[in-house]
Amino acid sequence: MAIADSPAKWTAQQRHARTNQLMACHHELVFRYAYRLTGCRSSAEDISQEVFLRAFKSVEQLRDPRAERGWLLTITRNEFARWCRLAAAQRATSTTDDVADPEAGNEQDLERRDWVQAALDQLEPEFRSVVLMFYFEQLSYTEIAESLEIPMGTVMSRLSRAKSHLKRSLSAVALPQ
Amino acid sequence: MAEPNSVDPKSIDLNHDDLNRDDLNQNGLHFDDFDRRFAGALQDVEVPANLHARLQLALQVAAHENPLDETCINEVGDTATGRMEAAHQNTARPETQPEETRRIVRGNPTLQNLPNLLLNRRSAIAAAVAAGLGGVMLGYRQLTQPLSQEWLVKSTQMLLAQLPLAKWQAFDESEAVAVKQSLLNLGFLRYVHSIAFEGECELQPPHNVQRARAINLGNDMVLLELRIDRGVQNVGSTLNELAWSRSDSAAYAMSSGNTTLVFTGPTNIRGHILRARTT
Repeated sequence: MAIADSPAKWTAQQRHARTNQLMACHHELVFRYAYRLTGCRSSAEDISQEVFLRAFKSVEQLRDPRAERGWLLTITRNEFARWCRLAAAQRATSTTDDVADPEAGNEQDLERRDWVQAALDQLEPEFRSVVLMFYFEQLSYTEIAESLEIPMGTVMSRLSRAKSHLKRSLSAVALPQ
Repeated sequence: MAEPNSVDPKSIDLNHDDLNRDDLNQNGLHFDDFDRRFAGALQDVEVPANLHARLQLALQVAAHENPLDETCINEVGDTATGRMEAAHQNTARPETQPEETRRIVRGNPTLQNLPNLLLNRRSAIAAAVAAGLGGVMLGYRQLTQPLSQEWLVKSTQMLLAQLPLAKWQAFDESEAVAVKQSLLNLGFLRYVHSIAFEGECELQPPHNVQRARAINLGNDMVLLELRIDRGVQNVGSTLNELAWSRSDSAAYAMSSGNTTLVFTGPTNIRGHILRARTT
């Protein structure tokens, strides 16, 4: 489907069709990224949904079809930031026993633990974001720095420290070839 | 069989010769063997089988409910208040709002926005009534005929008239936790874990209603809870009709035993409400 030159003329049907198209192509990618960011499948589903609802609202901004992947992953990252803020608010207002993590706890879950995710979860969100932008989105240092509005040296420093941590955490684990 | 995203906990030496084989990622940066394998492992995530269908449903609802005809477009990150204001611009508010409605609403901060919300009709969404805590049946439809404002005003009056305010009474913590847990058990509200109970209002029970209370869940969400010993048809039907009438917010009514819960919230959580219980 060609992207119209005049976004203001897009109808809801056009937006719906375009977003549906994006969803068909990229929903798995968005879910995977959201899961790696949050470490929680339920939250990843929530974030995936929000990503496409927000895409629907501003799909006319997507002029270049080659930018679809990056555009959606950027929205996903922004939704993750919002998710972090909500989680922080929750920690500030909830008691420890009134919020059950549906994915934590039982022995079966522990046996099936995703060790890669476990290592990621140990990283602070700002480190995790940089790691995933580098390894998942495969952005360059410069692109990460511009996107996060931080110096490139900070990007490299965070990556280096995060990589050291990941290597230590995964030293006893067989990463797939 | 191992989970697709699990890794056998057998030992691997990351100083293996493989590490000497450099590779480049798509941006030309050097990827050593660890980088390459780690990047590959990140993609190894099992995607829920019905995810696409659920996302399509959420998008379908959004497309129906939010036709995006300029004044209703909400920028990413808009507050719910902004959303309501934008939606309200397209809806003529009747000049002759019944005095009784205004009086009741003025006295209840929790319900102050309710009439405005109810008066905005563009399309409608509703969810069906649950048959016990074991499962929730969900429904969705697009209203094909416009509702009259008179009908909405009357319905609002009916609802509010049955929930006269008596006094404010804060929940204790265990009660708040119990309500949260009930919502989680019903499986219709994922965001419940992030809800801060900002205010609760104990309502004087109307006739045949053992207990009634409105709970301001924050983030523009309100929960009305009614405990009814004997069937009061007009309460249930009114609540359901009101749920159907919501267009700029999501509404959900459910019953279990003698308890009826009506949840209302902004549109950005509609998909969560629509999502069927999966666990």
